Amino acid sequence: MVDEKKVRTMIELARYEEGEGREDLRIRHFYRGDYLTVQLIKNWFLTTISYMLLLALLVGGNLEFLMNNLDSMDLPVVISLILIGYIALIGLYLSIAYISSAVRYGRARKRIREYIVKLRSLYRMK
Amino acid sequence: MRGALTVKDILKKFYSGYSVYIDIIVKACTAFACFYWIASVFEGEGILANTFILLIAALLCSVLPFRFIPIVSAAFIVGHSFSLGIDVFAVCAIILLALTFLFLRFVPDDSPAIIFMPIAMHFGLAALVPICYGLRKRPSAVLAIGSGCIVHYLLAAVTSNKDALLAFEKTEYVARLTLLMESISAGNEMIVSILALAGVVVIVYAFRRLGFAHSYEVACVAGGVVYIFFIILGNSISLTEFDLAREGIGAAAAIVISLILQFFWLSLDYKKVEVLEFEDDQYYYHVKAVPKITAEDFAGTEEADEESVNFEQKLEDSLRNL
Repeated sequence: MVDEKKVRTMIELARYEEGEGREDLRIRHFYRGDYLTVQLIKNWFLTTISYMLLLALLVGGNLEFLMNNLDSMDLPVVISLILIGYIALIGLYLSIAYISSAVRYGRARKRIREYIVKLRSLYRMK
Repeated sequence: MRGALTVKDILKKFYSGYSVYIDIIVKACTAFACFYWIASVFEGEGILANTFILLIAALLCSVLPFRFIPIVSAAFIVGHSFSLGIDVFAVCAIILLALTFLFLRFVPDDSPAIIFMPIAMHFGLAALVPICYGLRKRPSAVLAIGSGCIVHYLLAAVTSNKDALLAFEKTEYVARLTLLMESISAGNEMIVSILALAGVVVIVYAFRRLGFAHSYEVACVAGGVVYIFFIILGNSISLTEFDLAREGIGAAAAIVISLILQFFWLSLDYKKVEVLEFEDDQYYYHVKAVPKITAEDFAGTEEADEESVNFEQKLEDSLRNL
């Protein structure tokens, strides 16, 4: 005879494994520090690419102006401004990435703990 | 009310019976609508505007997760822009990539807003998408909504300058890029729109979380009002030139549509609220339980009324017989 309680638990577990559990189970293999480091490196890389792309777009859109006024520009100031913008953006994004990754890791660990409790209860069911 | 609830119950039963097929059909139809809209906005005539190709892409999206629709839509936008020149292609690709890297990767589940938002704004229903996201999602959806708004102004800049871009020689990159970038950054409309849409998401979310009677319905109305407030504020302070009549009608329509959608998502009976209080070793629980309205509630009431009428009739008859 089908044990309804057992089937319900198995469905819950299967739904979790197929849904958000997939990412959680991947995160589980990392220590907190390692996971945060990987996320920060990934974010630094993507933010740098985005900044360079947007800068290229800005230069491309104002190329005529830049070519006409290049001689009268204070290049060290311009380069400093570009660097300050980059550092500010990276600082902002790495802070956001750190907080969001830490929260995600904490939530994933909590869900994994609940998942293991359910797995154990399923194992004990007769 | 009872008729609408009956329709809702029928739809629910139908969906629970055939959810696998309905999901596929809905995804295919949504994807096709998005791709067709992109092709019509660009007035494309090439292979990317071919209905057969659009159908194949939509069928492909129907078997993939929902978040693939915005990805394929972005590919269509970039593809169509390539027909206007390599510089337009580069601008579209760079902006879409930057939006993905900077914002959308934090909210991958909300990424469909990047294509729903331009479609809604095209039809004057800008407030609809943020109201729906506020009702169903978290405030972080602002990132996806804002990205969608940027995509709308990008598409508007490309399509409104199509003739001017084609008038230039294809090798006049600097002039074409300058024209495009000036068009994208012209005016404060984009900034005001992003602020208005972000305000709508936050206000709708805040209202629905307050949990008072009819908070969801009040949230829908508040979202529309906040949007119009920001638009009027933008017109008066930052000298934007929004068409107030169009935006007002659009906001009213967005409120009505969101109320209808909210009815189908969740309709609650606030007359039968139950407040439960209990405690365990660690917590004291104060729970407010609001029952959902179903067609059976109405049927039950009418049957009970009929039964009581019959009972009274029988009682009167038996008393007369005495």
